[in-house]
Amino acid sequence: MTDTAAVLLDGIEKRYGQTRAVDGAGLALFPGRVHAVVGENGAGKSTLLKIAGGVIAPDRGRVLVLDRELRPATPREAIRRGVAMVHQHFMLVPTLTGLENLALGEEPTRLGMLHLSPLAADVERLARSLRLEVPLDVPVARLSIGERQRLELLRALRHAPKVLILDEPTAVLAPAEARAVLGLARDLATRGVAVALVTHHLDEVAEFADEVTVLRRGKVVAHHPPGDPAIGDVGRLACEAVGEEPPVVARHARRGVAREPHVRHERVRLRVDDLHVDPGEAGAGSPLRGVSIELAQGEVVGVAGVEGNGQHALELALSGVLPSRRGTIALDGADVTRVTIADRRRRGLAWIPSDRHAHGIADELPARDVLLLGAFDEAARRGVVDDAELDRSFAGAVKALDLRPDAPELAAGSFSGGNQQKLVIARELRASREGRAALVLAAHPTRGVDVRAAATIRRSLVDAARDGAAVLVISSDLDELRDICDRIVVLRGGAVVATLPPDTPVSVIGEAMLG
Amino acid sequence: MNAPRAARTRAILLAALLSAIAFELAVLAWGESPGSILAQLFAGTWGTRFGAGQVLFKATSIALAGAAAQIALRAGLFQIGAEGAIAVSALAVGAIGARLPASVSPIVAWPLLALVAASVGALWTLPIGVLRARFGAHEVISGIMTNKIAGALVGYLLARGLAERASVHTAPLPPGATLVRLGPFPGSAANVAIFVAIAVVVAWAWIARRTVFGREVSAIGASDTVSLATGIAVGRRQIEILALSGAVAGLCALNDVMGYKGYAEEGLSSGVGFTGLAAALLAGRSSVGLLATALFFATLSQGGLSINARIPMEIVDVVVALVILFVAVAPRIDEKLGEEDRA
Ligand SMILES: Nc1ncnc2c1ncn2[C@@H]1O[C@H](COP(=O)(O)OP(=O)(O)OP(=O)(O)O)[C@@H](O)[C@H]1O
Ligand SMILES: [Mg+2]
Repeated sequence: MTDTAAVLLDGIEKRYGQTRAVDGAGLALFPGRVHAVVGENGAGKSTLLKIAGGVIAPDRGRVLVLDRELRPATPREAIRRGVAMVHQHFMLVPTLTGLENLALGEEPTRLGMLHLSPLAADVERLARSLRLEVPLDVPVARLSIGERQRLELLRALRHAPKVLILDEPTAVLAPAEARAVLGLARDLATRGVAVALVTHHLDEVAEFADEVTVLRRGKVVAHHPPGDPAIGDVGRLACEAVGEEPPVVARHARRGVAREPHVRHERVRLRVDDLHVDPGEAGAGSPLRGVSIELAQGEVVGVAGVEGNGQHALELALSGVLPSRRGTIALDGADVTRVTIADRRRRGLAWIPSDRHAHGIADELPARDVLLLGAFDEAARRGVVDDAELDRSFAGAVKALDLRPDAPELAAGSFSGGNQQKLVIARELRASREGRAALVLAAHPTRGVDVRAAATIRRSLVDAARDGAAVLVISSDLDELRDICDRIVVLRGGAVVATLPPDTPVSVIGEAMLG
Repeated sequence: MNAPRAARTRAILLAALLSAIAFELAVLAWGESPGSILAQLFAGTWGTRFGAGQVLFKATSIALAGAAAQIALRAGLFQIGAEGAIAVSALAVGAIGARLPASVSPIVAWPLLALVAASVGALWTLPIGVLRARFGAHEVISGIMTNKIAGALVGYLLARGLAERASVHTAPLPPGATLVRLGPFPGSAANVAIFVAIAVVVAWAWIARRTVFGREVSAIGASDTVSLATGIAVGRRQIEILALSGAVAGLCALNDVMGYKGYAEEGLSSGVGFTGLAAALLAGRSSVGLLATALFFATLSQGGLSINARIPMEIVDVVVALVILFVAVAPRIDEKLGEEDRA
């Protein structure tokens, strides 16, 4: 290590109330390396990297950028010094176009008027050279998740940063897109950029990282310098990250249960018939053109497809956010095509949404309220909410999903990304645990959660099916679908083009997705 | 978990300091001495029993209008229509109250007229909620429009027969329909409606925190798309909350018509709806805070009258506007100061 670190964090501490988010951790980012930062949900990864990016000021510890202290500790100063960050949550204004979003903070003017055309030419050139093509002239609200992520990357790379911090850039991406982003990170490192990469996908670490730091409870519990064979050892990294090698939830285990002779009669719980949906302005991506699917009680069905082939429209139509133009949706034999979300939920719909911000979590509400949103009645007597009851269900989630911190009154937005996802999961799987769910609609259910929690969530989905629900899983993780599903339907161009058994090789599913 | 509260307290102190400076500068600019103006302002309000009573009287309506605003804000809605609800309710209470038999007992008249005030207020703001929930029309626009309609309607109805012959107000209420004045504040308009105001403010804080209704409304205020997605009846709650807010605003008639004038007239409580909104914005979600800001605005309003001979009372209005501004920006200033400390 003759080189000097591009960013050096030393003895960092950051507390929030009782929580020690970062508790004496350090991190050195060197030019030319991809440095992976891994660890369980709530370990302090985002907090530590936000400190590097000047977004949060530490309570204690030093932040050096190229040997000089970062002062003042602001994002502006960090960017000026060449540190760019892509956050775990999108930082885009949905009503502005991609180009306008990129112009925020610089706002080029001519004669006092906003003048975006030179910027547009610049950005387009950059996008082409990095192969990060995004439509720049549509409001961000209408972009797909993958396009939004590319836009965030473009913004971070606008000023040729020396340090690039990527906080779970691949969590929301389909495998092909994820590989493209990671490949880009590798390229940049080769050109001398220092890259920090947070991820829960340990196979990505094995393939793309040069160096690994493992965090747990705000402390560095392991550090693997370049060349350390541990970097390629997914099992070992998992042990270090979450304290154990998580079990694989495989359908074989499930089959043992499902194929027992006392399996209930094939009662159809969800029937979708010739469904046509226009995505409209809702950012639902591409339309649905005549989809028919049937799910029986106890079945887990996966939906695979290249992003932008109708998955999002399917999710929003089944949940009731988007109206259907043609066709029908029936839950337990009752037509619910024109029925509100609330009524569908009364008939047994549980929905784990892909857009957590829009449909899952209200940042400023206390976590225990988020956990019982829409079901306060169940914890109330004569219209008065029993907070002790809310706390009990929170304690249940803490136990079942290792939700952290154990602070029912903390605002949901103050939980780490993975723990926010656990809040949604706990809420939506409550009904199915009591055998009341008819359909569990799970869109990217393990997005952003650590490997152990991912295993727990997969198990819970399988359990929901065992308890009588039909489970529809939309996921870009084909291994996840192969592990827990009874069959996988492939969406292409808004229609079902194939229905495959779960032991279909990934390459074959991939071919079906591309056509 | 103490940090936000400490920050808020600091911000309020900072705002108070800035407002005081602004007041002094304004008074100096007028060529008066801030010290003696303040002394006179105090003498005209808390300095005498009459002055204190007038402050309490004004604070009563501001607190009710403030509660109306606070209720709607909980759901993330701006109740601009309170002003209209107050005007229409006042006329209804005046007109119906005047038709009660001369010998009517308070046991009948008070609850009856309170019911009239609340239901007319609720009915008046109901369309605002329906327009918002069913057609997506913004409640601020509908509020402004319905306020205009209310003003015109009250004038029209008074001119078309609700007013007493040869006057601009309704016939006087029978004695049994007027509220009891507060003994310790002789000569002032302070009356028992103040207890209704306190009860409403405290009750709302309880409802908002403890009931299913209140928690759902808070969820809608935090995110309406998430609330909708989790099955909360967002539209129905929005309609309910705007009607409830109108009902509370309507209760101002108890103070102004039954407690003070004894009849209804055009423009009787005009402006209170907006002062209440300002009080609610300053108070945030706190009930004690709302009662305090109501007293504060009432003091300034009554104090403005007492210093009017030396400086124009509009200066007080300017200070009130500055207070709101400072309270809005003080948390940011506090944050900035904090950042510099750390850097
Ligand atoms: N603003 C805040 N207020 C209170 N607690 C916070 C705040 N921000 C973070 N925390 C807490 O600090 C801890 C670390 O959070 P952080 O977001 O850094 O975790 P993470 O490692 O990025 O997790 P994930 O993998 O879920 O994204 C968590 O327990 C979180 O609840
Ligand atoms: Mg994180």
